[in-house]
Amino acid sequence: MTAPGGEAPRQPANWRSLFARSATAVFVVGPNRRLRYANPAWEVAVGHAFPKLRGMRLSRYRSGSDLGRTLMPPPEALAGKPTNVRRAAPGESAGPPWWDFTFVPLAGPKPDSILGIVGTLTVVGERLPKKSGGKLDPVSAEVRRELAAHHSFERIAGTTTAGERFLDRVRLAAAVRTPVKLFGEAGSGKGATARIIHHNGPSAAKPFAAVDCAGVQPYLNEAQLFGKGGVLSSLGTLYLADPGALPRDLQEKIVQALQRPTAPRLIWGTHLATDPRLLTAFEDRFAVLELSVPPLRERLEDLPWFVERILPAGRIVADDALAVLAAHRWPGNLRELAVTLGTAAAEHDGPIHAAHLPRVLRERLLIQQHPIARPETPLPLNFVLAQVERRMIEAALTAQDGSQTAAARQLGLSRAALGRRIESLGLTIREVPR
Amino acid sequence: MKAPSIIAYSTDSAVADHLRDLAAVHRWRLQEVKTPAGLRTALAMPRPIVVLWEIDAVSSDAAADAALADIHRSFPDVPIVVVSPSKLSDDDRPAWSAARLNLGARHILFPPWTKLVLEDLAGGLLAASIRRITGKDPPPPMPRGDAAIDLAEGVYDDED
Repeated sequence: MTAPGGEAPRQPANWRSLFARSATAVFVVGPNRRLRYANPAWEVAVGHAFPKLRGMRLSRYRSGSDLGRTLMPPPEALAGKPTNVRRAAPGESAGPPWWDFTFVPLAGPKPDSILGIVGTLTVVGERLPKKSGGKLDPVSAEVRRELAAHHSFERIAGTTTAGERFLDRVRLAAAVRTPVKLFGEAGSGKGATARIIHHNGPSAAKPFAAVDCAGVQPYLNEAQLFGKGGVLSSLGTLYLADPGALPRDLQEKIVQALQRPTAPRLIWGTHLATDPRLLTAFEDRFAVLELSVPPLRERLEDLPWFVERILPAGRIVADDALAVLAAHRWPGNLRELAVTLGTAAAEHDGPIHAAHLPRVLRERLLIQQHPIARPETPLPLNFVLAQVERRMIEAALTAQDGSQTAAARQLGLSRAALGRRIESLGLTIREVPR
Repeated sequence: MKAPSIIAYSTDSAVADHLRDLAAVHRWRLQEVKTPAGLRTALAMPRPIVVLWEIDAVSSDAAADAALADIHRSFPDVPIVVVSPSKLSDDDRPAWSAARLNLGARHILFPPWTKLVLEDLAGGLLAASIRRITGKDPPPPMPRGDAAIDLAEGVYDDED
């Protein structure tokens, strides 16, 4: 059969042949999370023939195969968002090699529906030969004792009511073993507070580990916690800084792992009251006890106390410098104070004076001490009243056809009083023809 | 802001050599130190910093642990990556790693610490440190290779 124009109908492009020739490993996952297609490059990368795996269900659960868990699109992709993710290759809990995936969801005809997900796979790194280790040298008891002594409640006590109130909350958190959410501005001391809770709490006999969720790539954090030789089961307390930065499948893995009775206690820090990146299950399970870490500007009376603890031994801050420090609002909180003092201490010997501090801080104090006087603006009340009076008299005279007697009656004045006001305002009376 | 710095504390230049390209494209300083005193001096001036500290898991001693704990107490905001040149068995690794994390390390690396992994760790932690101190993202890296001509003014106060 030919088309009306006499040409043969054009065949739809065969995407399979396109992918079949590609050196990029490509696979397609159906909406029911089953493997629907994979090209020859994928077979080489994965080491399996596709026909044997066609229809394999990809699942993150342990009941599924190792390969199925590794190939599973993450929740972000299932929700319709193109996503990159790195995972250890199947059988390698930590990598290398890693598999780097790009998952691109194909939007369906209905809102929020997907027809499937196209994935590409790149193998990164090579498996290396294993080595065996030797005997371990345990950390000396003295080092551990010093560490615990350093992180005593005294470090956050302060001298003000706000400080004492915060300390009471920290003591409460240390007395129990429930998960703790530390909520506070950047630099306010959430990490230090987590350490203090750990070293003075029921988990103190086991190690503390802080994980920088935003600063360390997820695959490295995952390997350190869950990989071969991962530390999770050895910890007493796990502190997650900004866990919202973790991919959702790793958040879910943490939620599941911390349900075990032997799991470490979780403390997590965030500067967001509600973090939309966090799984609801994470918030629900781990925000049992919430502590608000106060910003430095709310504890300015404790400033001399903080300064003493931050500065190296033997260094002091002179009164003129202290006045400069007290005038600043410290948006970067204790971290900003530590950087400011540390820079001054590194650049100058002896006591730290105002002149050693950044110019912007010194100027702030000057502005506080000598507020700019606003020029005195005259309040033109008399002028305004005269204008109002003029308008009212003119309106009354117009309404009364220029009769001053009638206008005075309308304005509630005597005829003589109206005459005096007309004169003082310099009004010209229009003669009304009779 | 003072120029961000990668500090490699090691007996040789193996770790530092892996990080030279990363430091160059970001205009970050790469310092090599050999002693705890040298490390303390390098850390004295506050700036965004990441330390890669070589501690051999097989032969580490109390002095190395004490130094690690001491540096963390003095500079709690500085992320420290402990890099072991020797590998431990899977049974020994968790306890050894957890103990060093407890002393203040932010991450532990065992062989094979490839260039890729070292760059990911040092780059990620230093970028996070810049964000914490300045409240801004670090400037974008310069393109690698000879294709680009760098006409930019220095970004940092004490840039070489």
